[in-house]
Amino acid sequence: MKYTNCSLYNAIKLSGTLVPLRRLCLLLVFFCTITVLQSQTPDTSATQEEDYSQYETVTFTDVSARRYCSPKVFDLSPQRFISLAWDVQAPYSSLFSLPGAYSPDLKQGNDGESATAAYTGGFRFGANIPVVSRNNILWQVGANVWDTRYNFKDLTVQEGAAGLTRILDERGLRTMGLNTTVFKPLGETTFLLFQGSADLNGDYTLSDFQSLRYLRYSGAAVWGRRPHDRKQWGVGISRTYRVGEMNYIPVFLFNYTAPSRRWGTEILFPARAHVRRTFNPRNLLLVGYELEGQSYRIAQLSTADQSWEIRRGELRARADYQRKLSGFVWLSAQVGWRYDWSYNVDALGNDGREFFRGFTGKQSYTMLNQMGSALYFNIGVHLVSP
Amino acid sequence: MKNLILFAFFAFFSTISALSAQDAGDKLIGLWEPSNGKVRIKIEKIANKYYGKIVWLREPNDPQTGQPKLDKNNPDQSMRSVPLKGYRMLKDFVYADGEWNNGTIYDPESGSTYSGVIKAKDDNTLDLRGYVGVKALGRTDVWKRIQVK
Amino acid sequence: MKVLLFFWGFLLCFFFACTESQTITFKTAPIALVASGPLFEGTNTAQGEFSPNIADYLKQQGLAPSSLQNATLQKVTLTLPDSLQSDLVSEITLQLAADQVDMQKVAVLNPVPAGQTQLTLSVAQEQKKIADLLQQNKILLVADVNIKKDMDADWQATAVLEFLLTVKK
Repeated sequence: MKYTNCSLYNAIKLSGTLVPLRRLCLLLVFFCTITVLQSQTPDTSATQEEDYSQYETVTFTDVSARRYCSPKVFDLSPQRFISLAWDVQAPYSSLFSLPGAYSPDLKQGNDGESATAAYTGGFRFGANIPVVSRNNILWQVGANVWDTRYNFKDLTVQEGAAGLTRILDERGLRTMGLNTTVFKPLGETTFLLFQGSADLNGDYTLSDFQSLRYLRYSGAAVWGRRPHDRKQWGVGISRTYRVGEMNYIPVFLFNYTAPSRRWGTEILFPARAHVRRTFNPRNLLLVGYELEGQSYRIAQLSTADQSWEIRRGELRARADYQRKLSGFVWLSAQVGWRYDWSYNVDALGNDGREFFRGFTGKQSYTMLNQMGSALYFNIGVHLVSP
Repeated sequence: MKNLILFAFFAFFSTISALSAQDAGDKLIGLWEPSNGKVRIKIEKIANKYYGKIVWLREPNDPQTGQPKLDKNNPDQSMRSVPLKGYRMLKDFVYADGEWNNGTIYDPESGSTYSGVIKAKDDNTLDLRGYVGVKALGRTDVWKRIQVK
Repeated sequence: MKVLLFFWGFLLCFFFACTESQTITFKTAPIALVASGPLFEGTNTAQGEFSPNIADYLKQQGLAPSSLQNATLQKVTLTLPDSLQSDLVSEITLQLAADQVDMQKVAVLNPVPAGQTQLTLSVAQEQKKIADLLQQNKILLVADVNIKKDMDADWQATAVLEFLLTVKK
């Protein structure tokens, strides 16, 4: 069929033949419809069967690809993104000395204040958020806020006593800190682990805050190996306040899960060590100990020249039961015995500059204090990591 | 007539656009290995969604029983006899706006299911992020494409 | 206070009286499942699909389509063409999927008894959104079938699914 007298708008020449534009448009619409309908047909690639044995020998398409070790081993207790817990101790006795200059070799100073701590407890909040979470590096930052309140009874105070019992009773102690952790796998079996934290500890309140010059810094660096999915170990060095005052100590990491998957260990010695019993992926029990400690500035006792700090260190022997409540929400319930490692007081310079006493130093304490041992309980709810 | 021309062009360009989007989504299809090398996953398409199933395990048998590993940590006890080989651990990913979203990732080790999002860094590399509630609370694993020798 | 308690109690009774529910059974027609050969030893995928047409079914029962409150899968029966088919299979896992609903595992049979032409799968205790699935235009059945040895022919079965529907009276 020939078309004559067609304008450019009404016809397009195709292969030497003038085709009406209307027909062309309809053809285009028809083509598009068929194409779309075909592409909407459910893909049956899933029914194309394969020989599973072929997946034994494969190669990376990208030759630069590498494998990296995981930061975890099987069945470790879950890592916590957000935690909220309540910690409380049973009553115990307290004995604070008169202020003086006491050699570290002495067991006890001159008695200044004695009382019964009828209540010691408070909430503990922690958050650890991954900033970079990839298979070749894991970087987390976190924050923690711990509050401890005291209620003392049967107080006996000698003349010249510092009044620490009253201050603790009225103001309590708190810790606010920021921390960071970097896990860097070097390959399939080797890794580096770095941790650092800065904590502000004292009897301050939000309205009566503490200067940041009294921040206390801790950190650790570990080199380790992860030979298989059930074992991970490492050695390193740390700067720590876990026994109340600054110390530099070696650390030893050992996370292990038995082939039965029923028990294992979670050890970061000397900070903590636990044996783990795994009942199933939703219930586990840790039994062991943890060292807790910080250096707390007591503003009420500090002067223009001196900053008084309680070197508070505790050893907590405990059983810690953890259970999945729902989804990624877990419950933990601890019961244990809190041993007093140190509650002595140092008088630092007003700038709060630290000094190193370690295990062998002879620098005097300003107060030599004892806190009796006590049963303690801790219950918490946590949002855990995948 | 003008309306017909406009409609025809609209239909044509929409088709090209839709087909391109589908092609882009299909680059997820294939064989992949997570960073730990413990499993190999084949990702396939079923009815416009993408699913990944385990086709190989580095340790295929349960050391305690000597039998092929089963989904013994599934919170649903009735589903604990499902074998891990062939298990669909990635489910219901839909391609949109340059990523595969709205899917879930199942971890047979823990019996936990996470929300997931997948992005392609390049043709041979995926960033697969499993998260809890919000994407910030999660972990990204890099998966590499592998091919049968 | 007592008046308030009485009021709320009355309201609750009224609410439950008005939303009394009943359960009915919905059984699908046989659904063809096919895994196209050649098939290799290991897991192979058989697919089938069906349109539940739940609205029509409810209308036939004298119920409004919107009366469906909940649904659970009660029974999955697979019929094989001959006993040889079950001899070849060690495990079967069945999933349901639809465009607007996430895929979920609904039944498993491990191990598969040999020499059978009729297999009843164990249904999942935890089921989600089955009512949502039934309200879709089309449901895809995805069966992961573990074949014991290579075979050239297709693997076929027909599946019948039985659901328990909770509907508003």
